[in-house]
Amino acid sequence: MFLNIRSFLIGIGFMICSAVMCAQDTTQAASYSYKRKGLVNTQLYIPNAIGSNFVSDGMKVKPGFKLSALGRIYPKVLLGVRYSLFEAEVTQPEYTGSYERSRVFLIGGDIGYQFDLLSNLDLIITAGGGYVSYLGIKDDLDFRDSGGAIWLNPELSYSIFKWLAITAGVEIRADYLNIKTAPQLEGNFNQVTYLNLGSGLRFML
Amino acid sequence: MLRNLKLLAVCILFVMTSCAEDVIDSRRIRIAGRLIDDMGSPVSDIHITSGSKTTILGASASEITGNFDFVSLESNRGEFQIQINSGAQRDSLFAEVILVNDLSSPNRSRLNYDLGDVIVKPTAFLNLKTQNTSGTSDTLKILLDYTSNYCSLELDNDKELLAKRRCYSTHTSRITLHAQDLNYDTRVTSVKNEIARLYYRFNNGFQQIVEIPLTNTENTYVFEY
Repeated sequence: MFLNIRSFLIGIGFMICSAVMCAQDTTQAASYSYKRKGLVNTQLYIPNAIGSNFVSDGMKVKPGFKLSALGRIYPKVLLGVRYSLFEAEVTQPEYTGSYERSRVFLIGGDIGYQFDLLSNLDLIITAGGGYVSYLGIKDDLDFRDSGGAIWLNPELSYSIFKWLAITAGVEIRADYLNIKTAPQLEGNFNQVTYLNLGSGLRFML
Repeated sequence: MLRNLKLLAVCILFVMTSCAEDVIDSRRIRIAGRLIDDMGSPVSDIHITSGSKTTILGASASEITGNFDFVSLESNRGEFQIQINSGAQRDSLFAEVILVNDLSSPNRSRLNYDLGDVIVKPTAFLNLKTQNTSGTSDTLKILLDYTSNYCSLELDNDKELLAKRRCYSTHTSRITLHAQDLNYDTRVTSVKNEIARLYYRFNNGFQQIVEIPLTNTENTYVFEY
C-alpha cells in the first residue's frame, strides 16, 4: 500500500515537472482558450486495474465513460466536477465472491491547471477526489461497496475549432473502499489502483 | 371492500419485503482450509461453495494439495453454510460435507473461516443383488443399515447446535420381497472402510445378520436364497 502511494506521488511529481518544463519551452502558446469560461469533457476510457486487488485478479473490465465540467477561476486554473462509470464482469469468483458483474460509479470534484504547449495544443492536469460506489449485481440481489477516490489526470487536447477539441489522456486513480473483511484480504479489497487510458471530445464554453 | 383489498396488498408487500434476501454491503468473508481423506491424503478438485441455503455467494475448488482459499459474500438470511462437494453427482467419489454457522451462533458475523484440515470420506458403493434361486414362495424382509455419505456439522461446538446436525449417520433401507420378486437389485451410496449390515428374515421368522465390509469403491454382495 505504501509502495503504491509512493509510486502515485512520484507519478504526480514527474508529470507536473514535465508539464511545467514543456510550458516554459513554448513561447508561442495559444491564448484564445482563456477567453472561454470553462469546458465540458466527454471521454471514453479503458479502465486498467493495476497491482493485486479484487478487480485485477477477478474481473474483466469494460470500457467506461467519463464526463466532467470545469470552470475557470483564474486564467489557467480550473475547478469543476466529474462523473465516471464503467462495468466489470466477474470472471474469477474465488477472488471476488460469487456475483455476475459490478457497476462502478464515481462522482467528485476536480481542480486543474492548463499548460499551453503549441498554438492548438494544450495540456490540462486535473487532480481531484470524490465518492466511489461499486454496485455488485447477482440475479435479483444487489449490494454496494463504497468509499473514496483520488485521481490525477493529465490530458492533452488539440483544438479543431475554438469551441471543440479532441483529447487524449491518462488517469491514475486510487479507490479506497470501506470493505470489512479478514486481515488476509484487506490489501485486496481496501484499495484498487487504476491506470486508465482515455480519449474524447472537449467542448469549450 | 376496496379498503380491505388495499390493506391486504400492503400486508403482502410488507411480508415480501421482510422476507427478501439481501447481500450485505461492504463485506467479504475469507474461507480457507485443506481437504483430506480419512488417511490424511489431500483431496483435489472438490467443488466448495458458500452462502445461504438458497444462494451461492462464494465458490472454488480444492487444489492438488487439497488447499482452498476463496472469497465469499454474505447474506443476511439465516445460517451461513460452507458446502463441500454439495450437489455432486450420485457417483461422486467423496462424501458431501456441510459446515454450518447457525444464525443463533455467537460467531455468526465472523469474517474469516480458517477451517484447517477438513476430512471428506471416500465414497463406497454397495450393489446388493438378491436372487431367489430356490424358487421359494416365502416373503423375505431385508433391512440394510449403512453409513450415509453426508455430514453436516456445526462450526461452533455448541452442544445444542451440534445436536441439530447429522454427520455420517446410519441410514436404513427396507426391502420386502414376495414370491413373484425373483431378483431384486439395489445400489446404495455409503462410506469406504465402513461396514454395511444386512438384516433379513423369512416370513416372520428369526432375524439374521450379514456384515458387508465396504473396502472398495465398488462393492457387490449377492444374497441368494
